[in-house]
Amino acid sequence: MSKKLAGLTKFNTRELFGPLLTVLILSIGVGAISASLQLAVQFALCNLVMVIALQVFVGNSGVLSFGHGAFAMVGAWISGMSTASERVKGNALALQELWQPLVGFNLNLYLSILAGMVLGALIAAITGAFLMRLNGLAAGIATFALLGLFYNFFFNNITFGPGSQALPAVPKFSGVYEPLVLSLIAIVVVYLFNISATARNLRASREDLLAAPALGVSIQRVRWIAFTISGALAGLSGAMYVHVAGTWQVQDYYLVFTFLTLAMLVIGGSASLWGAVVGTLVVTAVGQILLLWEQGKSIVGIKLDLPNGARSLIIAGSLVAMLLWRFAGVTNGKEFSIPFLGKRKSG
Amino acid sequence: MKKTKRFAISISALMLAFAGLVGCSSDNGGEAIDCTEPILIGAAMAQTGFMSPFDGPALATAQIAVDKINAEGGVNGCQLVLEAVDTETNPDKGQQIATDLIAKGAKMLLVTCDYDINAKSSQVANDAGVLVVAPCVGSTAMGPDNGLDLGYSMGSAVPGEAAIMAEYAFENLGKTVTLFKDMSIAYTTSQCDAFETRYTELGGTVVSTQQFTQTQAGALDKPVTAQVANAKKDGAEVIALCSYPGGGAQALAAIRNGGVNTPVISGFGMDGAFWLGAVPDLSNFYTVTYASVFGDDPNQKVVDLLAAFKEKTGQDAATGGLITGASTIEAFKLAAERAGSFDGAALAAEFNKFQDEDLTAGPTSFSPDLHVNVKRPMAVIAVNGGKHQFVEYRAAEKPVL
Repeated sequence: MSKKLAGLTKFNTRELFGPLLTVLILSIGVGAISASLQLAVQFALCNLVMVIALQVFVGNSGVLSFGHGAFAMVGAWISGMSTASERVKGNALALQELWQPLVGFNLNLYLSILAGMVLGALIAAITGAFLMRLNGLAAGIATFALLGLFYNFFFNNITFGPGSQALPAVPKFSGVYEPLVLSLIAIVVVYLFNISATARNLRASREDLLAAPALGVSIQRVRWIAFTISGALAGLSGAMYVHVAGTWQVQDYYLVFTFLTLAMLVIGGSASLWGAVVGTLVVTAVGQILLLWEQGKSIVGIKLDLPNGARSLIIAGSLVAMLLWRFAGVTNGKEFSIPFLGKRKSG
Repeated sequence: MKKTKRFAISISALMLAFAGLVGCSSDNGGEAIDCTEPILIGAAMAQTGFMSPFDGPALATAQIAVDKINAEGGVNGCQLVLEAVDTETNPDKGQQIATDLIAKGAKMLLVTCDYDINAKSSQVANDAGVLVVAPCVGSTAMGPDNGLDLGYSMGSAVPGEAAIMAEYAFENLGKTVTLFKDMSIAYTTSQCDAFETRYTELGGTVVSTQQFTQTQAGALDKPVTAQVANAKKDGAEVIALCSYPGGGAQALAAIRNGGVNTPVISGFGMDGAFWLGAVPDLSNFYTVTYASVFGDDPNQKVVDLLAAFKEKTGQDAATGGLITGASTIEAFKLAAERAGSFDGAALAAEFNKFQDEDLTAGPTSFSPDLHVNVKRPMAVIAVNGGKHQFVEYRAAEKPVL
């Protein structure tokens, strides 16, 4: 058994700067092409932060979580609610029953994003204390229940939000740069966590639930730490999303969001940070290409007339194919590397 | 070897990513009044998905109005062009389409007839300083209270519609009512709430409120047998049904099959004949809607538009809501000519001054605070023996705001 385990062990400049530069160059390059692509890049960056949040927990612990949408939901909620204009909060049709203190509750954009992270982390820490005892199927279902709980609360509650309707007029980012910088910071944070002893212990528990405790790893503790950190990042993702969409709607953080980001993680390769980045890029790009084909436009001269809905079908199909033939994802769970460059340096 | 393969895969993934993101381009065109290129009106509306029965016909009549105006010489000497991209009733797609259309220089954006679906696309236009109009949103959400200073609805909103229902019912049908309140969407709940307010204000009595829900697919959640039994016990002179088909039609069928033959009054949600199969030989049923699509509307503009619609699409109009699409374009023309500009803020300033303007949808007024019509006359249509018959146009004496 000389198989090297997937995951980072020690700091490596290339492994960190590979993803950073990739995201940086693609975001700026693609965002400059057109207004709608700029918007697509902003949404992709929100998804990216969510996917790396999932990577921190799911990738390192091997425990599936469907519950991160809940953290994004509350992060987006507090960030949107604290920045929407007072006039809208006091008058909008959907907010007639809003709890009065919320109407006057105002933060600036960046503080509101921080609040989103803190609330995401807090909810993750509280729920994680209980959920982290579970393994396998039970963990997946329990986190799914958590998502359902928060969704149903917000969907039906009109005291703390717009219920099933929209909270409008949330201020937006002025362009690609703000979400880009936030994403890059998130990547650095995740990288530093992934090379820490805690993350290594967590990965040990992923590989062997019996051997890890024998080596002195408290599985529940390391999982809880990762869950809380990923809760903060999911909160950040939601807070970014609300400032790209300009509107808070509870449906945005529910099933489609949860499954899309999980698909990105699995397609890219859940074991590595690079996998999370590649998965987000590939799924976003394929989605955009298929979208244009659905609309009957041509891409670099290729034009296919796809029926509406083909996009979702193909993304779902590629997820199945990935799970069947390349379980570890496009990157095979490895971190960023340039083989030729590596050889030249060592040789 | 293995490393190289992985590298190749990663790089091809990246190239794929880049190709995908590059595959679209846009051009920023048209400032000020310059008619070398036609004036672009964008439509981020649903041609598929559950909003398409409302959006589709309105979009078709908008195109009819554009063609008509172009044939008559355009607006401020400029030709108009309507570009519609299907949002599939998906808010996120709508937002991206709106962004694209506005980058192309659209001077007005038409959006889906439901505020919860169009919230994102409306805000894109509003933030970019572009006039944004939903042809048939029935709530008062489009407007400054929701942060949309440049947002309007050409529809006739619930405060007026429900008041007309209550006033007509009180005067002509009876002084006691049982409410059948569909809890599925905001439109129907607010409709019954406003009906109750106006009806009791007039001196009528609400005997009971029977609640029910329908699924997204448009079928009753559960049978309404118990609710019908309660209504029978009530013995009220009128039933107000705040709903929409198919669940609304199923509820109506249950009412009639339960032996309750009292008059039933509904709003725009129950307009049209397409659901009558669920309630054969329906009688003693009334709807309040935009116009009659049954060939007996007294308004010549409506008759002409319906004929043009039939010619263009080969189909009969399903409901009266479609006239708002044409009216949106007419309103744009009126405002642009008065303002002598296509600037969003200038157009909105003219919209705010609208005072009973003569559009196909009827006299249309806006104010700086209220960006939807609540005083416009609506058609009351009676159904007897399964046949629709126009009764009258009437406006709310007192909208429930």
